[in-house]
Amino acid sequence: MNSIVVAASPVSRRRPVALGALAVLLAAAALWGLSSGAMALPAGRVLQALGHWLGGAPLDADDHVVLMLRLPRVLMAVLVGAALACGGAAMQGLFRNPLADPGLIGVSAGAALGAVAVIMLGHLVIGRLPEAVAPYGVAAAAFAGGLAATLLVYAIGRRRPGVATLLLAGVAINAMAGAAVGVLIFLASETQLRDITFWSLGSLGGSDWLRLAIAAPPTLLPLLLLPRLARALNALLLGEQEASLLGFRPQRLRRTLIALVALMVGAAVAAAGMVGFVGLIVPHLLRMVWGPDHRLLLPASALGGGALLVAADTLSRVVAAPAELPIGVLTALLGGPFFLWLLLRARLGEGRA
Amino acid sequence: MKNMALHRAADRHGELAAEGVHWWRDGRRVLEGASLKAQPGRLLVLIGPNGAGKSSLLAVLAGLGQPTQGRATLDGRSLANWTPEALARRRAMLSQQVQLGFAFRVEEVVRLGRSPHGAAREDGRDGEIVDAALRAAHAWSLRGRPYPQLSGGEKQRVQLARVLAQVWDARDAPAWLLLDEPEAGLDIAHQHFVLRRAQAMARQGFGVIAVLHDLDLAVRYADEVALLAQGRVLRHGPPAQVLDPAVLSTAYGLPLRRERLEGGGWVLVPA
Amino acid sequence: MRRPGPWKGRAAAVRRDPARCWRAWLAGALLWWTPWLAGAAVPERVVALGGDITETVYALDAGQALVGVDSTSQWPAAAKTLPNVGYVRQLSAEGVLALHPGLIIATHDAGPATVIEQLRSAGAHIEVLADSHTPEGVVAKIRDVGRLLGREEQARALAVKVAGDYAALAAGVAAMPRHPRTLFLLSMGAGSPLAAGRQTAADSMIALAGGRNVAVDFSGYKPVSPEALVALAPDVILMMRERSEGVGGIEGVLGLPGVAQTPAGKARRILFVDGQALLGFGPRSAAQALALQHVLAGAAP
Repeated sequence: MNSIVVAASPVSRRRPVALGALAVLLAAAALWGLSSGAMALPAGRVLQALGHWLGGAPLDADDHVVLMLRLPRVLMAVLVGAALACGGAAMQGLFRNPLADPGLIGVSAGAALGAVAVIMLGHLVIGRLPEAVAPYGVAAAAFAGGLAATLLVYAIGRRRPGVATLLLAGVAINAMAGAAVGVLIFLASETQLRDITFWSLGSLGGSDWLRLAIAAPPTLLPLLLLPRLARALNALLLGEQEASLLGFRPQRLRRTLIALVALMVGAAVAAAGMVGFVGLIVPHLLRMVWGPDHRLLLPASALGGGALLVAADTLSRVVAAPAELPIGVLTALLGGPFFLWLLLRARLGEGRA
Repeated sequence: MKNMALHRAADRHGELAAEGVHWWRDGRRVLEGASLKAQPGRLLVLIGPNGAGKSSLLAVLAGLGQPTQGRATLDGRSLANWTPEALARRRAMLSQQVQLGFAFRVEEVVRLGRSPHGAAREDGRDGEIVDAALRAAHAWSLRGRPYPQLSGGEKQRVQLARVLAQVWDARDAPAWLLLDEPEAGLDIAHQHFVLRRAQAMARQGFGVIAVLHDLDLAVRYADEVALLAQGRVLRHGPPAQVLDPAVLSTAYGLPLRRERLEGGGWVLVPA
Repeated sequence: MRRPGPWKGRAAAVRRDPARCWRAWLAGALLWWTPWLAGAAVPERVVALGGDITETVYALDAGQALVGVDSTSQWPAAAKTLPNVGYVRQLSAEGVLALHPGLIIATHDAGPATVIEQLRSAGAHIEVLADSHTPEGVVAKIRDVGRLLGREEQARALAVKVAGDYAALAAGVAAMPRHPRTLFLLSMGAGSPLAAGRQTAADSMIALAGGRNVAVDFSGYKPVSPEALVALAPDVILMMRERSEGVGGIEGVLGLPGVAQTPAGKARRILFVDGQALLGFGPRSAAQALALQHVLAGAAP
């Protein structure tokens, strides 16, 4: 039996409590993120900066750090974390497997290939990019690569009913994209190699208001739309045939889910590089606490993923200050052992997993 | 003309039918001109040897597959013209195998059956129906337990409750229950319980079609029996007529005879 | 918290909308820094981004002004005691700003670009120097750093010395009757060693010191098999002194498959060079290259 016990109250009663608690957690994480960093600014100073901004008062240097560096970064972490976790929850529902990951549909591997290709060959293709545009080139290529790989996986997977073909197509496309990345890495120069390494470890450094504005639509739109598919996803957990018998359209649902997840995860990877474990661990943990009902799980994953990534990013800015630890290192470092602990504690597949 | 058409449609109100259905599935011919008319208020049992097309016919009647030729109708209207939502409010189907690895609680699984009826509040009418369906399927005592921890038979009862909940309150038109081997995995007491429940639902006005392997259960509970072989409906009628030893012996390729039971009734045994 | 710099003076220029105030910030910053660009006093709180920049700052005797360096700044030893802002291409804006820099001198490929932009818009004075992988570039870099630090005198003297070394180097190379086949090997782990191909600092340095890089069929660092090593037939093998212990000195290198069969192996011409000094294109690299040229000139078989 599982040791994490839950009151067997219906979801409609669990929902406000759970989402309320997670929203408070997210707010707390965001405040922590805003008031921590290489610069020592007391929390009061941070609130004062926000006050200056909202009140239209002139900004000084400390205000600038809070409003130009930390605030967009914290918000970006919220978006990326929410997108990864919510996308993970949706993929686990689609594949009916609590260990599924958004990467299964090829979006992460495709994004990696796109990013690495631009790091390596961007100057050949687009001519010598001005330094100010180059980083957007990498993000745009990552986004495009993620969508392209997903489209390919979907095109192959749709040829047969069920998710098995989709899953195997994802495995194959992932392997092929990984091989292509390997070839590019082999050809890379020393500097490019280090750029690729750091990109693949993930970072929210360099988040500013403009990048946030670019990343917001492709992450927010799926975040808002996915919960509307919650009931269909619940039915889908019984299998495509049962979902169909219950009046849903599994084919259309699958298409919509893949499109939304590719959009949000592609944008998240483009904005922050490879950040592992969030998409796997957040929905998993929430499911253990509140059960698998997607009406609660999807919004809860968004809030929880946002909170987790804000916390991880804050930690990454603080532990090695004034340098930064790559955030992917942190999420894997914290997520790996935590996941093992869950595994041993709850006996996956038997408990409320 | 118009009046006649209306009249005819009214005649077929509630009727679930397959009309000359041919169905190729995965490169294999599973139905070859199967026709069947079923009326609500009766328990119709489909029997036949393995690979006769029983489950395929049930799937076509449920609207799960598009026949290669012919059509399935409800109320005289082709299933292809029903929206999935409207159809889901009129018929529910208990599948042979439902895999659910996620730890929904038993009542949450049953509540999934209410999906076609919109996002209703949990404590309202849906809650009452879920409770009633749990009781009707002998699954009331399983409430609160995580579904993956149940035994096979317990899972089958929970799935039955879910299916019952789906069409529990169909009022304006008779609803259909399609049961694909509902007795599978159940102990003998629950086998009889499930078929008594199916019979009771039929008495309440539901249309019930069940695929059964156990001919004795068919003898005992069916109002009508349809015998399938090689993708076709060979016979359809009252049990005493269809469950003819000579016909069954040919269909199954095994000599069978009737054995009278003390106190009336009979069973089929190998000759 | 007090910091140097004219924060309060510029604060008035800043208004509510963050996006709109960037330009005002920039303009204010530029105006304010103009006297320093003219080169009056030694600026305080300097952050050096790039190993070559840090070396140059120390060589100009301005090390005491440094408050932070990046992770490629490994020389001199004093640089390693300073706060480290991370890898030069993966900087964090707040990390650099936390050092309250009065002046940031960055190598040409410091980044990411958005962080450089963020540092600028936060009002920090940041100077990104030009690419300097040539003798002229190194001399120009010395002058640039000297000007930024208000150390023109020292910079002039150092530039003259470095330029002299490069001139001597060029003369020495021109006088070489023959340019020995040279191969630069890196990082001996379990697998094949990596050889420096085209478009590497080692390739430029070999050419500069009068050698002829034999690994011209590829760019970057690529693993070479023992067979390929024999086929390349280098007269001289260069390796990093930093790794000499790891590979077991000259004997260890000679024991590697293929090395003993090369002309370099047969003549035991395995040369350990100071990688950081030679390949960093800092102020030490001219003298290092000159020393290498002497060895190569004597290595002609």
